[in-house]
Amino acid sequence: MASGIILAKPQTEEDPPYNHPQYKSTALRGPNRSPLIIRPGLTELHGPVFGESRIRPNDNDLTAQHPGEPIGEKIVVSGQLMDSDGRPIRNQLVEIWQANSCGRYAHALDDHPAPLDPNFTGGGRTMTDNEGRYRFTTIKPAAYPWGNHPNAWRPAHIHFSLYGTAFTQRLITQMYFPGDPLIDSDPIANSIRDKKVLARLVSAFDWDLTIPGTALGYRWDIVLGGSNPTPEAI
Amino acid sequence: MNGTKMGVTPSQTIGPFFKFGTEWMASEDIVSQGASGAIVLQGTVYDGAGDPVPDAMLEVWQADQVGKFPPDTTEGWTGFARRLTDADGRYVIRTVKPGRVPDATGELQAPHIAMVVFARGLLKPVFTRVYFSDESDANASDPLLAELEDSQARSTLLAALEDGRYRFDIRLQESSRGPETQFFAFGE
Repeated sequence: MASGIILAKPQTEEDPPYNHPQYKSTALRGPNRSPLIIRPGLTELHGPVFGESRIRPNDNDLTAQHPGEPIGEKIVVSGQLMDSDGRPIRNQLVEIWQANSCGRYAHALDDHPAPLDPNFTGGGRTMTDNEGRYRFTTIKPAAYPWGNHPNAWRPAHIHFSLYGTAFTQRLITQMYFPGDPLIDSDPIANSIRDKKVLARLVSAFDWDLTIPGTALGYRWDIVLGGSNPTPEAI
Repeated sequence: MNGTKMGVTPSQTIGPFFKFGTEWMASEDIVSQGASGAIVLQGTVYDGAGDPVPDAMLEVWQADQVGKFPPDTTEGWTGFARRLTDADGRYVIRTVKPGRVPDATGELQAPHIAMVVFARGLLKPVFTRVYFSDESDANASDPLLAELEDSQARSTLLAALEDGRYRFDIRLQESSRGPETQFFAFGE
């Protein structure tokens, strides 16, 4: 153990486990061996930088990507991306994707017999601003059934993909809606054993984000772990 | 920094239906064809039954050929690529072999590429490193490889040179395809 690169304790033990029998797809895909905990090297302490030029004007408005208005309840989803010290993560890429207002994904393999909406694809992206803030306009997704167990339903959710300043901070997760009765029985949400930690995935209804006469608003702040010293400090 | 740490947002699976949200960035290579020092890194993601995983998303991130990261790199260098595996669980990325960069204690590491894989059935991603089998001298002195006492686990981190391309398969579990890939989590 000369260089001390192998460590005893990970940055966080709050993430779900790889093997969670209630979510059947983990059985053949979750690694069986525990990951080796290492001190990140210079590569992992850096991370990709995405230019503003990759983002087009309507990329953060999922209701404006087609000629017509999508069907459903228009909402604003906005919040702040930060590290675990509360420092904003500026000018970084945030991507979302979601089902439509009937619970159907614009994906060839989604066989849920709910209608597709020709005016809604459900993918969006934006860059955080100087305070780490992001903002999307979209349609509230619906719950949908899935084949995990008899009468299984996913709570309404929006998938989020996030980058920090280090590769170790890479996160893909799901945002849920407040008061959704399906959260309690969802094996994916409940793979997070600590209810206080799970609560971090639930957005908050926020009057300040509403657009009068047009859209309701939900606030969801995102905190990325793995806030190591900046590489320059090594 | 001092003070109370904020509660970190936990991971959830990427799910099966991410293509329409993530493919926009999934076809760019790290270098163009014919670029000086260009190599091809390719492989297959397998599950515990030994079947290919056709719905994985993987990303690689690396230093440039002299071990630099943006903004200390030439214009246009990103060091990043994303791929969605195809129907046969495969990915292909054109890149260059990265230069050697230090670990957290300042010790020089062998050339390697950082990789992260997401898929339905993974509630959190798997992180690994792609080392190069034809860098035996550098690999022998790499601080991480040196500490991996399990030679089978070590072997899963080495991309093999086959027909001029580097092959790096990801086995989410042990199967007829070989041992489970050595995955990493990060500490501080």
